[in-house]
Amino acid sequence: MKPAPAAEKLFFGAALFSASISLFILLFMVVLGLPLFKDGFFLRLFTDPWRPDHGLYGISAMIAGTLGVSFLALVLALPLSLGCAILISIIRPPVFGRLLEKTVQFMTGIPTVVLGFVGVFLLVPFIREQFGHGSGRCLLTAALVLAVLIAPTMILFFCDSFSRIPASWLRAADALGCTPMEKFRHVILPNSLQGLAGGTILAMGRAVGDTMIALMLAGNAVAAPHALLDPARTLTAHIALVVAADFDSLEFKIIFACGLLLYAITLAMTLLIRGLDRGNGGRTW
Amino acid sequence: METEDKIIIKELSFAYRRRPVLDRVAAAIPASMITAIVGPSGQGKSTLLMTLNRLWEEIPGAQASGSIKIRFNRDWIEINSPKVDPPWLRARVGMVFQAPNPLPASIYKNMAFPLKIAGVKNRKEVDERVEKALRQAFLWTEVKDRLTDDARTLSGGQQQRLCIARALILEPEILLLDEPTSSLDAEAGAVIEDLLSELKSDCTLVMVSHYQEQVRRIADRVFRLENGILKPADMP
Repeated sequence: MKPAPAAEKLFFGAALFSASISLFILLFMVVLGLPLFKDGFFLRLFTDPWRPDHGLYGISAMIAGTLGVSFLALVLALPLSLGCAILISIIRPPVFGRLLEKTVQFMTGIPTVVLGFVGVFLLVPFIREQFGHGSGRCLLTAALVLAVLIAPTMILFFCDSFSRIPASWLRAADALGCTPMEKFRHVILPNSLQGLAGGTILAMGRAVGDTMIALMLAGNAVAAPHALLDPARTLTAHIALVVAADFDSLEFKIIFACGLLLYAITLAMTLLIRGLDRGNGGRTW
Repeated sequence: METEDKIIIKELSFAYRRRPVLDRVAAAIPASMITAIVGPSGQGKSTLLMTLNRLWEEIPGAQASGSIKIRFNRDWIEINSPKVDPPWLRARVGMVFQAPNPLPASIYKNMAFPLKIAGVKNRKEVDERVEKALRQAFLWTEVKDRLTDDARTLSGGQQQRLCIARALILEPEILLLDEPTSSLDAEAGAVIEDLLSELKSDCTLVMVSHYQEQVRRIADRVFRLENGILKPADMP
């Protein structure tokens, strides 16, 4: 057997190193969070409230905050992203389409702290004045800005899924008298569903993992939000807030539980995307 | 026997990304005949077909000018007029491509798809028209018991006949064929040739072909396209 070329070895080493880092992070969180797994303490994290002064370290409010902000952002971003992707890939207005695509590509590179600043100075006062309730830092404000954060990822992913439809299918639809929207509805959309689902899951992962926007705009109250204008604290914001204030207490160790939970959510989403990819063959309408 | 013209092309020019492909092409294509367009590769034969149903408009960077009039029933229609809706035109001027292009669906759904787009909802009518078009394409007996199978499980020749049947289901007055047998073996190609010879009584066929023997066997008129110029040619 011929020895692998040097470049192949280098890339293999780089891949192994990257995978090891991911596993090392998991191991690090498990080891440092070990005290949490004793005497059923870990399960109480999901049932107790967060009251460290009373020895209660539940993170259910943060889980609810994370899911609330992320799902709301997804609900807001999904139709917007689908519409933009249809405009760019299907309707293709010559100048505006290209301009929109370049803008979307540019938006993927905007740091989240910049979006957070825009939210703090423009959206927070707007929400406060429009609804006349609370500080303006709430689930809705954070979700709106998170939607702006995740939409470009979704749009580019959706455009990519649409562009993967074989040209022969599109030509067949054109030759049979389909309008662009009929072609989209009957040929492109049914055959892009896995890509659309993949992009949505990826965006959801990005929303769940974002720290800065949630920290700056969600209000950070330790209570499960029940309404759009209620403040919320996400798992990532909770980690950032605890790390900034503490170092070696049980309260501090709770952030490893939050980290493990985020890791599990990210892993579940990655596996879901891989599952979708694996099932992407020979599907018919 | 003198035949009526079906398509009259005048001053038709076409450019792709500013590179001229067709240069003031003129031709009269007779009705109910097979007209073959021959010529060397890369001269714009497929492009010429795509100007007859305005499919070229889907190609980014393409530009065309000139006049193409088609006689639908007794009326001559200038198809490049902005008043003509391309989907309307394409439902009347069917097209079959070099490689079969069934959609990723069952045989039945492939056949019913154009009717769905045309707004035909009556299931009985759809079933009848599916059967009629499949019979026209000599395919009914081979697929009648497997209509729910994925169309991509058919052989290459069967897929091409399915694509012809799918184009025929809307009862087009003109059928454009871009080298319809080039991706098939000789046996499957012969079946398609027989099919095309049968079809010309119902519709006008315009076919691009590279095979001189095929043109000799089934074409009634021949045009040669070379260096952007289209000229009537003798039977090869």
